[in-house]
Amino acid sequence: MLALALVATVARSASGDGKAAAFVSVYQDDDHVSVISPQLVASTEIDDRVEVEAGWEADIISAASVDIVTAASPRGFEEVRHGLIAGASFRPEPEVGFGIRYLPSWEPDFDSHAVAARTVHEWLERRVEQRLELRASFDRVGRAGEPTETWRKQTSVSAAASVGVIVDRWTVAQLAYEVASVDGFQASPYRFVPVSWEPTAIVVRVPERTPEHRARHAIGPSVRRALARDWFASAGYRFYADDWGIVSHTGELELQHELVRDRLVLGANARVYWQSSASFHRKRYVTPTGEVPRFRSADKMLSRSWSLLAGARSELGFGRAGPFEVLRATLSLAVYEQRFEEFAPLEARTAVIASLGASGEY
Amino acid sequence: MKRAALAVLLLCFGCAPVRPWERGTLAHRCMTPDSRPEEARARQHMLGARESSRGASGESGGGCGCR
Repeated sequence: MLALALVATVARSASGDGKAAAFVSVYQDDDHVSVISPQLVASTEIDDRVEVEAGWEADIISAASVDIVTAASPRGFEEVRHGLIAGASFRPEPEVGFGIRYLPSWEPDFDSHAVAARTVHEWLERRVEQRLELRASFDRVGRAGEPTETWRKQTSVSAAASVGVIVDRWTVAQLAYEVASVDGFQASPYRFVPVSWEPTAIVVRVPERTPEHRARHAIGPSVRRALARDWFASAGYRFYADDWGIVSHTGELELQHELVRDRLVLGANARVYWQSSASFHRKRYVTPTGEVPRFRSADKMLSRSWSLLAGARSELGFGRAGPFEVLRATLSLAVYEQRFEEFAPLEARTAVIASLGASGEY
Repeated sequence: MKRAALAVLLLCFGCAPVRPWERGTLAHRCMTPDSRPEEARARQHMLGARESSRGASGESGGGCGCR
């Protein structure tokens, strides 16, 4: 709350109306991974048409996961990722908007510089909203402690388009599509893959190697509907496919009830996810000839897997408070269960995710 | 893809126009997906670091650690 007030005070000193938000999410699973992710974001209007935003986010990670312990270091690791958000948006007309964003982030073994440009256009008496976002990210991956000159490069470009339509007085529907192309080093510099030479008992551990190009596609329709004056539901589906052979299906549902007008909203949500394996991923790599497979991975994320997420959230509205004309606080709790069907070191993990946020408009 | 585009066009032109003064319910926070950007970003980032279909939903950064 103190951080939120500080951000709001700094942002408000810039000039007109704006928003400030502080948010923290805590992830803890039974595979000895915990991540605390705070965010501070503020935006302010320069004039009626121009808005600027700035923010900071971090991941404070403590991991002793079974596959990290066996593959990388004997005791796991602790590290912090910092990220910044800097953006500006320009709305020359009420129906047209443009925006740009710069999102750098740093951690001991990875850094990233992403830029994004987006347009928003509303048509047909603002019944149809079309969005387009182009994004490029220039990343480097290495081992913590090694000179950054030795780090490997990864570049991704993506284009995302969506169309939202007001269907009737209670319903909004949307269709979104995104394509991304990733080039460069996409394996882990820490991971070694055990390969068994079948006629003997010899097992060699070779560095992980994946293709250096990946094309991803995702498409998803979603719908939001007011079921009554104070009941709201949303549902979405997403289909994903890439040229590494992974196909995934994601379904999401959310139900919200405004218990006290402008003061209290309670909600429940559920998400189901399933993905197939990458074409080169094996639970165990066995070679009859002693030849090491060209591509090999010990990444559980490339294994066939499914997950369930179920959560509840509450949102409290406080009206006018301190420097804010509207102040809101959110509290949410979710349980995330993930099962890996082709990953020998770990079959499943269960996580609890709690988050707390406060946001204000001034 | 063509079928999806056709469905969007049908939605755009096939529905009765909703006038601006009839959009009170649609303006409610629970009906606007952009009303919780910090929650959405944290969730996308968490899921993107644990499931392989990350990258096509706009989350930022993240090496091997937070998986």
